[in-house]
Amino acid sequence: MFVTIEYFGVPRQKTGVSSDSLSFANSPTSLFDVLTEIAERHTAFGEQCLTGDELSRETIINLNGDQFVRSLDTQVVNGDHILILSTDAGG
Amino acid sequence: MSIFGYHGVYTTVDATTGTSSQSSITESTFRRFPGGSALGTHLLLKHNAWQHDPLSAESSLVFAFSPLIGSPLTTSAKFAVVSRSPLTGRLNDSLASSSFALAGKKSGNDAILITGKAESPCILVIDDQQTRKLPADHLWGLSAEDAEASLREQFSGDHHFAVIGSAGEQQVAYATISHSGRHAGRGGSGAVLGAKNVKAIVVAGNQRTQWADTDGLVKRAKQLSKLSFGPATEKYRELGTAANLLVFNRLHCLPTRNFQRGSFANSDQFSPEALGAARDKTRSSCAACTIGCTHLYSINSGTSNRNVRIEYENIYALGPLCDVQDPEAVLQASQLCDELGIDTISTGGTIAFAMECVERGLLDEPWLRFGDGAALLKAIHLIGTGAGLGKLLRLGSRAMANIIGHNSIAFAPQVKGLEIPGYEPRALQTMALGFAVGTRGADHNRSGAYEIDFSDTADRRNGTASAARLAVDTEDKAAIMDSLILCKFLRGVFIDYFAETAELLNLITGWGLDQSAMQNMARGIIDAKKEFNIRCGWTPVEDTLPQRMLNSALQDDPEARLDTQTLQTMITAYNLERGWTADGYLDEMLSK
Repeated sequence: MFVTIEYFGVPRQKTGVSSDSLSFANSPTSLFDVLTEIAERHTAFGEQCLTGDELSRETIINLNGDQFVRSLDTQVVNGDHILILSTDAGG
Repeated sequence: MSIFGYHGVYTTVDATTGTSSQSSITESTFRRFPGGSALGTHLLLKHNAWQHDPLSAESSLVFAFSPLIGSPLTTSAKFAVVSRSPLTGRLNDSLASSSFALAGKKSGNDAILITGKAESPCILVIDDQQTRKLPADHLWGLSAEDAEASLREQFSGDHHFAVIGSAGEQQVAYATISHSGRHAGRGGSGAVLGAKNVKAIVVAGNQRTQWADTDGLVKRAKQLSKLSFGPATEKYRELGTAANLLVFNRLHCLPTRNFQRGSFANSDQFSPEALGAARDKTRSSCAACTIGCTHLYSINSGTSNRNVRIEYENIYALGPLCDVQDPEAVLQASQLCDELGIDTISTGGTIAFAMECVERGLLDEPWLRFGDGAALLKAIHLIGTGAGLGKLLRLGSRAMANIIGHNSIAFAPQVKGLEIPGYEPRALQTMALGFAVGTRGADHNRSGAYEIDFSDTADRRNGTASAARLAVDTEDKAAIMDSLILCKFLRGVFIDYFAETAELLNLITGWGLDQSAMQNMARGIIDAKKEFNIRCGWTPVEDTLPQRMLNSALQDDPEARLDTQTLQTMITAYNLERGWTADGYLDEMLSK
């Protein structure tokens, strides 16, 4: 299956790309597996994205422009878009 | 006996006579209203400021300092300007950071209250000498920046200045008060000062306050500074708030074309990356700040060689909201707002509203079209001069709608008269509540309810009573930040917010407060703000959104629909969570 990762703000700056298309053998796949794959591709961002087995406080994830998720057990299916944002709005 | 962190006094300056008097503030008052917005609100209640037209001689305007000012705590060089707003008729508390805060506190005051009206343009000087009124005819008509430069030549390097631009002089309803390029921006405090014929407040002094635990304070300050270099503030440091634009656009919560849409065709051109690639960029910090969130970009055309400070809110209001897709025009418009001394959000909101009135045939100004950058700049110039359409635009969108009629109030982008910041209420429904109930109107700095929408604790497009209860907590946190005072961009470094802010206040004051005491303090501050509004004539019908945003879906996101009943359910839940009546009244007034 394929999922699209869209990066915004600091995650975009750290990865140096605005998006990635990733393929996985299994569908569904956990968000943890997706982020582990991203961390391997983009080391600088990976160090900040995950704190151990948890999403770091500074990272926000949205699925398909709809709900925000924090649980890394969230299941991702073929065609999903995962938006990775910096925390905080305002200004 | 002195109070740690405080002078224990405020000075009232009468602009009519130039005379001043000092009054004491007790420790018990500071424990409820520690500084900033809280202290300013308290003093306005004490002086019955709700009774007076904000542009009358009798009105009061408070510069309120805080116990943290002058301490080594990062981002603490902040002050609040608090008055009744000429734009909303309700409480207005604007905050800003600069050396003015440091010098103001060193003048020996915890607050300075300005009342009266000078016969001719003046400046008011509060320093180690006797408070005095000096003529300012030579400054009248100058931009805030030019007036400040002139004052810098007139006074010693220890003096600092809060200055109005020409918009404040002319009482534009959303005029700002400026200092060192920063602005106490929203709600028209600049007009209040202008109505008093006061061009500038000048402060200086050498009076310092004592701290209860200096060693502990220095140690904690170092920790906080270190954290302020970390990932919690990285977005602000590296990209600035403009980084919000692409995210909001992707989620269809970037208000566009006067809230007709939630996304904008040319958003990529406004990203910090694109702006930085196309022009020179510099960064700067407020006084006593280690974050350094200010990102300035060069303007590539015209005669100006100054860089302009760019935030998400000024891009949003002058770009997408007016459907202007040329970054150069938006940067020029932003710079022009700074020069005149007007709030960019209200400026953009009012012009976008006027553009839609033209589109609907309600205003005969065919040159003023959505998407036209030259028209945007012309409209801002007219606000500055008051000529032609400028006479209407300088009133703000609500007052304009009331004059234009034809139910145009339905699409005037405001709550309580304050133009709505760049958060589409239909797509961010907890924030919609925050806007509806805000004491100074639609405001993203007094309610952080968008944090709930941007989390897994709520469905952003389906507002609920439980989300409303969470919104209260964000408002309480903001009330503490605005009263200690600390910059909100620091909030992400706190793990246990109320306990940690209690610790900071304890290090200064020695009060031994705990988390619960801080939460109670926050509730008391919000109650006082509400009381001020009730005394001004607030009624529950004010806590709502423009009709456009209710009962119909966002054009480019059919799932983003907020019905009146849902909003009302959230408002009731919010009121009850605050301990108010279901329709939002206090059970009893605090200041009786």
